[in-house]
Amino acid sequence: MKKADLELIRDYLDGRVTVDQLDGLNRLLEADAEARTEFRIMATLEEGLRDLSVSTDGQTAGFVGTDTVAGSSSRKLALRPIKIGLALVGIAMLGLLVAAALPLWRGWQWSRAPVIGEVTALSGMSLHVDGVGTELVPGDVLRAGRYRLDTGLVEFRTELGVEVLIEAPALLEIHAADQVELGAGRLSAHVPPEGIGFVVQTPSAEVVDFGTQFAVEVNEQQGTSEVHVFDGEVEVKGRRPEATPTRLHTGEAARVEAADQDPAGISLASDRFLLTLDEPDRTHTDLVREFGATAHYRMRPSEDGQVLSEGGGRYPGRIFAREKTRSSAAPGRIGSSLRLGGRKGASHAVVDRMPLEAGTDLTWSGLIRADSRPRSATIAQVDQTGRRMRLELHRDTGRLSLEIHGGDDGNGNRLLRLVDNEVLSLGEWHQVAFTFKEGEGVLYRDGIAVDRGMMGALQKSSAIRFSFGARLGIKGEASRRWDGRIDEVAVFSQALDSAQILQLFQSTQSSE
Amino acid sequence: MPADDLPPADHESFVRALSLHERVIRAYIRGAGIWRPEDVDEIIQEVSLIAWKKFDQLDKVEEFPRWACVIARYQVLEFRRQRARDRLILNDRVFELLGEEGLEETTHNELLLRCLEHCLEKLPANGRELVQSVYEHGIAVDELAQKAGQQANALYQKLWRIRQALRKCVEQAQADRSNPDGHGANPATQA
Repeated sequence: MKKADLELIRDYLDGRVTVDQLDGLNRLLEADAEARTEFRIMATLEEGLRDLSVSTDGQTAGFVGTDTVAGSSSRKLALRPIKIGLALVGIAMLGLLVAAALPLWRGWQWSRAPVIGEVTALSGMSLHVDGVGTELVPGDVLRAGRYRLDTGLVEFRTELGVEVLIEAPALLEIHAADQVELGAGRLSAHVPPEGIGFVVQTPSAEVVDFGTQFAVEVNEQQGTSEVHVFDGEVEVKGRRPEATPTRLHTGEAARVEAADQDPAGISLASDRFLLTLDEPDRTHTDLVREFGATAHYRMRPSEDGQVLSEGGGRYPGRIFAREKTRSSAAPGRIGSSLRLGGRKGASHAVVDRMPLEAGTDLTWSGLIRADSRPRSATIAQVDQTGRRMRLELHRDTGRLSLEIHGGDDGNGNRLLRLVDNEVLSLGEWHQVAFTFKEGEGVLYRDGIAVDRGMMGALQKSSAIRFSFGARLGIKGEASRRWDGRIDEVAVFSQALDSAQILQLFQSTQSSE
Repeated sequence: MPADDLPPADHESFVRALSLHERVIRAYIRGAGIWRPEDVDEIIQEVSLIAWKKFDQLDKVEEFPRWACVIARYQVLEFRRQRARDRLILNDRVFELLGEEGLEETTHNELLLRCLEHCLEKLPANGRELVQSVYEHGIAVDELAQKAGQQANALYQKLWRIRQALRKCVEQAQADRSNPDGHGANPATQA
C-alpha cells in the first residue's frame, strides 16, 4: 500500500482527518479490499495498545518526556481484561438488578427530556418510548426521544404546529420540534408557515421542508428512502456532507438509494401515504345525511384499529385482518379508506345487524378501488331474511356483477343477476351503488344505471347483516376475498332514485 | 459429552467469556470504523448487556467471540446511524464492508493481540512510556508535546515509528508461531 494511504488511515484512527481527507478515505476503503484489511489491522493494534496500556495497580504512568522515563521501567503493563474480569464478577451479581433498572433509568431520562409536542390521534397499538415501559396515547405530551410504533398509526403535533402521521412498523427519534429522524416506516407531515425548516432525517437522506405537505418512507432492509411532495416544496439530499441538494415541488418525488448517492426522481405515489387521520367534512357527507342514510361508514381509522366506525355511532362493525402490523387504513377517495388485501391480506369487515325500516327496499352506495382481479371476489354482501345480495368483481371478464338471491318471479327464478358491461379499471376510484324496490334491482357505476332487472316479491325483513371484502358463509366464514380499497359506504332503508345516485357520485367528484 | 458442548447457562461462563474476549470485541468495533475510544467504550457496554441477555441462545461458548462481534456489528451500524450527521466519520457503505469482513477475522485478531502483548513488553522503556501516556489516558499528542516542550509533529513521528516497529514485531511473532524454529521478534531492534 502507498505510504499516503497508510497515513490517511492512521490519521482517521487518530481523529486527525479533515472532511476532504475523509472523502478520499471513503473512496479508498470502498474500492480497495486490501486497504480495508489494513484499516482493520491498524485499528486492532490501536485498540490492543489502548487495552494493554492499563497498569495493574491502576496508577497512571504520567508522561514526563520521551527521553526521560521516571519510575516506569519497573511498571509492568498488564491485560485490562484481568481487572475487568474481576469487576465483571461483581457486575454479574448486580446484572439482573441493572437490567431491571435500565428501563427505569431510561424512563427517568425520557421524563426529563424537553416537551416537543402532543400525541393527537392513534389507531392500533400505542406509541412506545423505545427501551422504556412507557406507552403514549392521545393527549399525552411528546418529549424528545426514541419511539417505536409496532402496529397501526399515530399522529402528533409539534410545538411549531407541524402535524406528523407515522405508519407502523416504524422507528423514529424525535430530536426537537423541528427535527425528526425516521429509521423505518412511513411519515407524512403537514408543515404550517411557522414550522418551515422542519427536518426529517433518514439513514440515507435529509429532507428540509419549505412549508408543505410531504411524506417520507424508509425501507430499512434496502436502506433506501423516498420523499413525495403533495403540496409545496422540500429540499432533499443524501446524508454525506458534500451531497448535492435537490428541490422537489408539488407532485414530485425522489428516491435516495444510499447516503452517498444523490436523489433520483420517481413517480409520485399519491395513493400510498395517509396524510391525516381526520375525515374531511365534505359535500358527500352532507348529501348522505340529507338523503336519510341509516348508516354511513367513512372509514376513519378507529382507535383500536379493529372497529369499523359508523358516522352516527349506532351500527359499528368489526374489521378482521390477518396482517397485524400494518394498519387496515389506506388513503381513500375522501380521507381514509379500508384496505382489503385479497387472499394475502385476508381482511374483511362485518356489520352484524342493522335495522331495515321499510322491510324490503334498500340502497347500498360506496366508493371502490380495485387493486387486482382475483378470479371471483366479493366486494360487498348484504344478508337479510330470505334474500342475499352480492356485489362481485370477476377476473375473467373484469366486470362488476350484482347477484340477488331470493324472491320468486312466478317462473321459479330465485336469482337476479345484474352485470356492468364495461371492464372496471384497476387503481382508480369508482362509485358503485345498487338499489332494490318493489321487486326491481338496479346496479349503478359512477352515477349511471348500468343494468336493472325484476324478481319476485321478497319476504319483509327487519334487519340486515352486511360485509365488505369477502364472501361470508352462514357461520361467518370468509372466502373469495377482494383486493382493493373501499370508502364512504352508505346504507339506506329506502331505494334512492337515479337522480339521487348521480348526485351522490357527483359529490364524491367535488370532494378533495 | 465434551465440556465445550455444555450449554453456557450461567453467569460465570458469561463473565469468563467476556473477560477473555473483550479486547477482541473492542478491536472489532474499532476495526468496523469507530475511531473514538470513548465511542468504543459506549458500544461495548451495549454489546455486553445484549450479549448477557441473549447468552442462553449461544450454543457453544467457544463461538462467543464471533457471536459477540455479530452483536457488535449491529450496534456499530446503529451507532453510525445515530451519528449520521457527524462529518468526521466514514460513510455507511464503508462501515458495512468493514463490519462484514471483520467478522471473519476474530480468531486472527486474538493471535494478533497476543503477539502485540509480547512485543509491547519488549519495547524500550521510553517507547513504552509514550505508548502508555497516549493510550491509557487518551491524552492528545499535541497536549503531550506541549507538556514535554516538544514539537507535536516530532512526537507524532516518534509514535508512528513505535507503531511501525510494533507492527513488524507482531508480524514476525505471527510468523514465528507458524514456524517455531525461527528467532523471536524484538521491536527494539526494529524501531
